[in-house]
Amino acid sequence: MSTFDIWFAFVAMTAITIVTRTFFLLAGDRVTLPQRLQRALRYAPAAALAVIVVPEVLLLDHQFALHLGNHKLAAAVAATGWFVWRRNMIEMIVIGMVVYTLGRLFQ
Amino acid sequence: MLRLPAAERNGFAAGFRIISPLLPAIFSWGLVTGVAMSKSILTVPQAIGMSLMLYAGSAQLASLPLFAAGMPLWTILLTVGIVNLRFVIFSAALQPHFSYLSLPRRIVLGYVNGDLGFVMFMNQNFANGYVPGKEGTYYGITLSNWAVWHVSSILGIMLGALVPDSWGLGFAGTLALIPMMVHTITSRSTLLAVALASVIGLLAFDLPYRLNLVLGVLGALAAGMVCDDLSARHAKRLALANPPAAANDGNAHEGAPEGEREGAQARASGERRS
Repeated sequence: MSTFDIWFAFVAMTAITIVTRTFFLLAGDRVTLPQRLQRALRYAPAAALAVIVVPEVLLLDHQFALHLGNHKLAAAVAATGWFVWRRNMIEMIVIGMVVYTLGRLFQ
Repeated sequence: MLRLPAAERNGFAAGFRIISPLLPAIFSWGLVTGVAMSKSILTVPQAIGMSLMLYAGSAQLASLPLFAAGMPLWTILLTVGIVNLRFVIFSAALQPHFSYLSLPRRIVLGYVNGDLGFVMFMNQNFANGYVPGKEGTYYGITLSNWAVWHVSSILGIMLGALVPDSWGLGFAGTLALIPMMVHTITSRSTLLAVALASVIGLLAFDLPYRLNLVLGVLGALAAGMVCDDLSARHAKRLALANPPAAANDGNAHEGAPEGEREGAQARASGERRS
C-alpha cells in the first residue's frame, strides 16, 4: 500500500466509525424507538462486556480452560471475589494482576 | 468567552468522577494498543494519525493484520464497520437522551462515545429528553476517556519496543471490565441476558471480525425482551388471580424496572464512595 492509500484508508475508516457511532443519533426525532426495544437495549452494555471478558478469561488458545492452571481465570476469579467483597476497583485490579503475574512466573 | 451553564459544568465534574476509577485501566489499554500499533507495518506518524482519527481501539487492532497482509480496502472497511456495530446499538440507546440536540452536536456526541464511557453513562439512569447537567455528565465521562486514551496510546506508540507485551498490561483492561459487569447485573433478567451473551460469545469466538460480539449482544437483547414480556405477563396473571392487587396493576409493570433503577443507582453511588 502506498502512503496515499494508507491515509485514504484512515479517512474512510474514520467515516465508517462516525457513521456507526452516530447512526441512530442522526435519525434524531424522525425515529423514535418503540418502548419495548428501548427497554431491551438496557441489556446491550452488560452483554457486550460479557462477550469481551468471558472468552478472554475462559479460552486458552481457542480451547476451554476451566481450571486454575489458567492464570487469567484464576486472576479473574480472585479479582471478581475481591470486588464483590470490597467494591474497590483499583485494589481489585492490583489483586488480579498479582495473581496473574505470580501464576505466570511460578507455573 | 464561552460560559457553560452551571448545571452542565457540575455535570462535567460529576462525569469525570464517575469515569475516574476506570482511567488507569483505560490508560493501560491505550498503552498496549499503542505498542501493538507501533509494532505493525505502520510508521509512527501513521500509527498516531490512525489512532487520533479513528479513536476505536478494537477496530484499529483488528485492521492491523489486514494492512500487513495487503488486504483490499473494502475488507478493511467491512472489518471496521462490523467491529463498530455495537456502537449502532449504543447510539440507539443514546438517541432518546439527546434527540433534542442540533445535528452537528449529535455527530460530535456520537463520535466521542466509547464502550466504557457509554456503560458508565447509561448506569446513571438519566430520564429521556433534556435533563440539566446530563449533556455535561456525558462529556465529562467521554472526554476524560478520550483524553486518557489518546495520551496513553500515543505514549504506547512512542515507547513501542520498550514496553514488552509480556508485561500483560492488556489483561488489566479485561479485569477493569469485570466491576462494570457486576454493576450492570441488577436483576435476574440482566443476569440471564449476560449468561446467554457469554455462552454465545464463547461458542462464536472463532467467527471472524468479532462477529461473536454482535451475535452475543443481539441474543442478550432478544432474551431480555422475552424476559420482560414474561414478567409483565406474570404480573398481569397475578393481578387477575388476586383482585385486590389489580389496583396496583399499573405499578406491577413498573415494579421490576423501578427496582432495577434504584439498585443501579445505589451501586453507582457505592462506586463513587469507594
